[in-house]
Amino acid sequence: MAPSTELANAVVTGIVTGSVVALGAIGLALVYNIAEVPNFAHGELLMLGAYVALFVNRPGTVPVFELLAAERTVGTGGYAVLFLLTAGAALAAVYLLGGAAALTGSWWPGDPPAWLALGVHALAAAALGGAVVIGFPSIWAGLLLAATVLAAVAPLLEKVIFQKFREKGASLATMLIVTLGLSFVLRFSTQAFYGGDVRTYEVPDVGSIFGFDVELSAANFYDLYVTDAGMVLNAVDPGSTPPEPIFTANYSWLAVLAVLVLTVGTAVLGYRWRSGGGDEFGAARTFGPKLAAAVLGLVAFVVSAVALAGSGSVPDAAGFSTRVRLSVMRASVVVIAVLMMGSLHFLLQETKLGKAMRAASDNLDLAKTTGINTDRVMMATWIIAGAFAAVAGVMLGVLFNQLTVNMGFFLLLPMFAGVILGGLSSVYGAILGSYIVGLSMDVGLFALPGIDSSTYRIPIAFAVLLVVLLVKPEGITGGA
Amino acid sequence: MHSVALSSTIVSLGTIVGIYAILALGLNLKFGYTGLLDIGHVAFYLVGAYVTALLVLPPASEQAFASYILGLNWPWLPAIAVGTLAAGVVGMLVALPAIRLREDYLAIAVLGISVILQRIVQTEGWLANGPGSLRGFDQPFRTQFPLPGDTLAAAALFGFVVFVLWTGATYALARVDTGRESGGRESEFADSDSRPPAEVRSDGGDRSDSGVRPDGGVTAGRTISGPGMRGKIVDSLLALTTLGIGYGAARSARTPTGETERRALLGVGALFGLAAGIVAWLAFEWWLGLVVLAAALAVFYGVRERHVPTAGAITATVAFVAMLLTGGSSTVLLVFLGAISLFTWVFGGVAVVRRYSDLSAREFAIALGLAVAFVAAFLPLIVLGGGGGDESSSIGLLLTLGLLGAFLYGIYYLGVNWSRDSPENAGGGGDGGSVTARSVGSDAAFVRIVGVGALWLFVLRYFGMANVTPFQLGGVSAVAYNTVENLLWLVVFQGGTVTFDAAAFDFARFLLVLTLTSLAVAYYLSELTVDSPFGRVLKAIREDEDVATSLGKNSFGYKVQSMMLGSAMAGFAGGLTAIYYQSLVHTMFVPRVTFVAFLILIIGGTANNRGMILGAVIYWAFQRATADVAGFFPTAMQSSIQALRLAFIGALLIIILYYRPEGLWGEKLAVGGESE
Amino acid sequence: MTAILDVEDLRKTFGGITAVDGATFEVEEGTITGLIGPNGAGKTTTFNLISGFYTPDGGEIRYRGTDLQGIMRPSDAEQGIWMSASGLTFGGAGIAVVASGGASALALGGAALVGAGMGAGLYQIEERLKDRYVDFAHNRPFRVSQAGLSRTFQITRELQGMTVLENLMLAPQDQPGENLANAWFRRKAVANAEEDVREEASTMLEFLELDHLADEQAGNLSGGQRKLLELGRVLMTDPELILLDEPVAGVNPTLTTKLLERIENLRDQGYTFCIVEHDMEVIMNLSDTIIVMDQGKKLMQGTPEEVRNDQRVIDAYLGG
Repeated sequence: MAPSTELANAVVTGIVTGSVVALGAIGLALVYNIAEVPNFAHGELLMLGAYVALFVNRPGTVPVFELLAAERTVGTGGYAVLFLLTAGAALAAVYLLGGAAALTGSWWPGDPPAWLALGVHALAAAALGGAVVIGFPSIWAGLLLAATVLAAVAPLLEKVIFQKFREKGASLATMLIVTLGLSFVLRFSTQAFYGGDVRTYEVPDVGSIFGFDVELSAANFYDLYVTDAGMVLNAVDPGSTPPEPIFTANYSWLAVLAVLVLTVGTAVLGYRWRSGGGDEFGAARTFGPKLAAAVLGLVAFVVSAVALAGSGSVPDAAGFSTRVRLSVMRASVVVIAVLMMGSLHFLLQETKLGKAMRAASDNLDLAKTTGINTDRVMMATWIIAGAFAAVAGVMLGVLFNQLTVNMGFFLLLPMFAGVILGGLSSVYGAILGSYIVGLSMDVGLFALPGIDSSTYRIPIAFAVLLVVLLVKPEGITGGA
Repeated sequence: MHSVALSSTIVSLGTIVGIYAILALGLNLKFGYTGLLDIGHVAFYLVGAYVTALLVLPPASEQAFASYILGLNWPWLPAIAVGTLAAGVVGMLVALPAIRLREDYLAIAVLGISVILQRIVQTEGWLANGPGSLRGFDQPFRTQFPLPGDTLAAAALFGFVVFVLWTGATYALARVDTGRESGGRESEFADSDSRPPAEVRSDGGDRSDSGVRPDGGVTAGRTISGPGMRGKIVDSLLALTTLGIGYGAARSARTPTGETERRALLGVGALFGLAAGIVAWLAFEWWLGLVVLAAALAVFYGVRERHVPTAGAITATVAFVAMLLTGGSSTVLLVFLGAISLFTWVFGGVAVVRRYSDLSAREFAIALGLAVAFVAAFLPLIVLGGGGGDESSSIGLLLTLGLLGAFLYGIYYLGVNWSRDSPENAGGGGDGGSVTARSVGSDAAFVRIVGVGALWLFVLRYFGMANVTPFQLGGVSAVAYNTVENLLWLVVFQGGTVTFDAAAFDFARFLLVLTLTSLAVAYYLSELTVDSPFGRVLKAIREDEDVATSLGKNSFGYKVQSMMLGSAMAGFAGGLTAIYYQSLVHTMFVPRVTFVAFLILIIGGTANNRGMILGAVIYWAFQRATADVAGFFPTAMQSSIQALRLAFIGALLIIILYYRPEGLWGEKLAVGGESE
Repeated sequence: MTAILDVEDLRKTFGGITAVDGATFEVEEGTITGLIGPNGAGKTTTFNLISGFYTPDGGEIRYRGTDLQGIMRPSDAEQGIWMSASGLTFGGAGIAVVASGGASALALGGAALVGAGMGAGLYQIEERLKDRYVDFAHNRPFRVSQAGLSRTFQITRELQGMTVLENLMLAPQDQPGENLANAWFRRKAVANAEEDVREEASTMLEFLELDHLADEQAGNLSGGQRKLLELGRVLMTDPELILLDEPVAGVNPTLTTKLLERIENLRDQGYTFCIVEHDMEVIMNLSDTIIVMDQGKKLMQGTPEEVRNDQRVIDAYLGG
């Protein structure tokens, strides 16, 4: 008896979707708050990132560049182009941060000698370029290239377009229309360059991680059975015939209880630990009580679950059973998103730049009068927005296994929904909102009777947004 | 077999321009006048189109492979009315909750609603045939065309067309350069400095002959085109092409009408309306007769220059009777429609010359040079052969691309350096006492030169390049034939011969007349709305909602009304779209349509209703021209060029917003928007 | 004399900062009441509360004995519009739900009726809930202005893109042309009314000595001219009680004198004024009564003479 894929699967899909939406929404929210641009071209940044990754992943399908490349290999010239593109984009991003002075380290803490800063920048750029060349033609190298290039493109847009309009005192409405125009420029230039065909990435089915062959794109089934005796977790690889069980973990009710107690207990302890200390913990804001509780709880859950797992077999009859399809690829989307959010969290809380960004986000004019270099903050915002958008775009391309020039625009609406849902004022709200949107899209498709068409994914996101706007226009985290 | 004349392309282009102008008028009311950032405008366009179509369609059971609701077999007129109404109601339902939101949230909310509606139409098969297209409805009066015909219905339709054309022509003539039409808004005429600066402007109030200027040679009762021999010649041409009636009426419309005369003219209108109504009843349906009667009364009552519709009525009566008596003679048709076609050229020429009367001959020459240079850029591609894929065509392609790049750079270079090249433009050309310190003079002058260049380009294309293929095929006679066909653009010659017998009036042209009439009505209502105290409140809300509120204006209520009205207009445009395309599919209602409407609005200038028409013309002329251009390129590149032109449109939007936020038409936002 | 405005225990806080803290005072009909106090005393906030722009956190404002909330309550007609909109939406949804299953006309009609009823009912329920259980406050300041209580803004808010004349012509209440149906179909009546309004506005401009600027964009005026324009605009609404927020700041002395004369003149005609002004000389000369506010509370109320000699007032100003 195979369990049906039901709610749990929708939830997992929702989390994966939410991760992609969140990566995009972060940039959207940052730009909205700090640069005060309601960026309707943000979706196009995602799209652009996804298409840039093709340079590495499928060089043979990129017009013009294909002259230097075969389907998935490039000659020396191709490597040189990729290297220069990456390194150049990295340096350009630094340059856009504050002109030539930025290259000589004006944005560093302290006052480093020019040669040192220049050298470090050049080395870092070369390292990025080298990483792309070495990683060629994997999707990871493509991801790196896309993130670097977009980290330069996004601030360039600010410099060339939005800054000009801001200097003229353009209203919010004007800015909005400008971004609409920009989205047209980006979308259809890309289409003109790449042509209108649907593109795909080439992602290997089997990857080698630490010498082990791992199925990457094929989904494994994770089945959960609830019986009188307890719970059984069964992982199945459906790729081989007959489907081959990977592992089966059996938990008695006592073990389940133990796992729960351990998890909750560790989480509570973690919360106490970080919130009780008060001032003597300098990093209390970065690794705050909520974060500590979540991370420690998760660790305790995994450790205790592994430790307490008993061997057993799949029961014949179960009171409840559910199945989750999860591939390494999809799981890694979530992991990457979480890692990037974590680093952003660190940046915002720990660095001077991050503090400046938070100040600018609260009140730009006030930040300016307190001596914060708002131009630099704004550029940094765009750099982050661009890089995150590129990652989200590549993830999107991997998830749906197709690239179209409209992919960004369609994700724009859920991203905006996430940002507004989160109350517009903070990145954290945007992340939370994005996961809610992602979950509601997928769970909504599953839960609403008669809505069986995936065309309704985006309308569902919007319906959620509209309801929130009507009931509580300031967003779910608003007012706090 | 000869190719389709360019005039037919222009006709279908004109129809779509009319539809989009109405769409933009609706958006202008919302965004331009009230400040509501409705980037979901397409939703109402969709509602109007689908409601209209679903009412007009026969029941779904009578069609194969299609499912949809309603299908009531209604006539078009009530269907469009209901479609318009439905769009307005949906506008209200959207507005009631959404308008309380702040500006950017409102934008996203309405965008979301437009996407949801589009997805519903796309997905729900039972509603409007789902992903398939909705088709199978007839166009109104389709069976009567082409005219002429020997039936009463054909004569009646001909009379209607003549009425519309003559009324429009007389109106244009009566309004040209009386200071109200041109001088009031535009300050760039040569004699604008002599106008008293603080002319009291009327707010929807009395607007009789306030602006007749002594020095323009345009005074009541005298010639229309100015003094001198040239003026007389042009005047006689105008008189000839309006068959005397339009010209005469236009001149009498310039003298103030007395009370008795006014009453008499109203009587004429009533009589005409009654007669036309009876004809419509006999030829078609009883209710159409009532509609015609009401419409005629409304026109005679609403148009202040009552000589204008009188001229239309007289001509229409003559045309109708002549058509009926001759039993559907092509000659009658050719006389009327040929004359009015020629009138459009003469009048257009006069209007252009007047509008640009301050430009020197040198500047006209520069504009012509620009147009020629643009065309010349394509010579390598044409001469060396496009699309061949061989060596020479590649060279041609590269050369053309290079020349185009050089041309664009040249335009940019000229534009940047214009004031330095011709210092007389900096001071004298524009209006003398401009309030803004910015040197808009040079920009504006150059934009106008580019505008003249575009007109030259049109002339070259329409009368020059259009003759290339006929010349290759049939020599000089074919060129003459083609030119005549293009000149008499309201007439289509069947069977490939230019003879009196072959003249006809096809449905595409009828649709154009219908659309432009609708546009005129929509424009008139828009102007009436924004010039009234109601419009004043809308503008106040756009400027500062708190002030409007503190003065006791229910800003919420006004915004909802503005949304309703603007949405209803979009719905009306949707209904016309259904007629025009004869099939509806969800891809016609993507968010891009809203974007195009915004582009038209920005090109024409926000809060400038006339600008919406100009914007629609420019947008579609651009679309058409680039489609033309794309034809020169190899097939493999054509889809890229299609995409590129959309990218270009996006860039154009940004550039206009930056360099000319007031739009291409107006000198200044405030003058364009507020001076009425 | 009777109180035209009656403020009782008014409170307003912004995110923990108390701007108005239990202010209680009255404004007598036909007087000029000055409202003074050091910076941050809550004067402008009080104005915003009285004119309905802010909703109070506590207390009561009565204009001519009617609670401000009562004035701002939606009329029956407006409630009707909301109810029918709600009904229309649900009715449409009902049709859609039934039609997606492919049903007969009867079922469609039934669904529409049920849906419409549901929508209307839901609206009613929502309204009741709002009234009874939620501390709901109406925020519709235009009703206050319509009732005859008008205000100006401290920082002038002229309508920049409109001409000076249009700014004034906007103000009069209940113009027939503000109704779209009239604007379309009764053009004669609208044109006549416009002529009257234009006449009135021109007279006002002459008085304000702005007549030479009638067709100028309001955005091009100087600071003092804007103040005048705003005063003219509020007078054009024909109010009974006028709240003026620093009416003569930036206006030249000659004109100030004229303005003050005009205000006294209007007071003698029965208008009531409540004025916030920093120019002590102006307020002392002009006011019949002065209310002194400090830290969101009324410090005292009295004639200019009493205020001038009150130690608490002097302390507040020196301390503030």
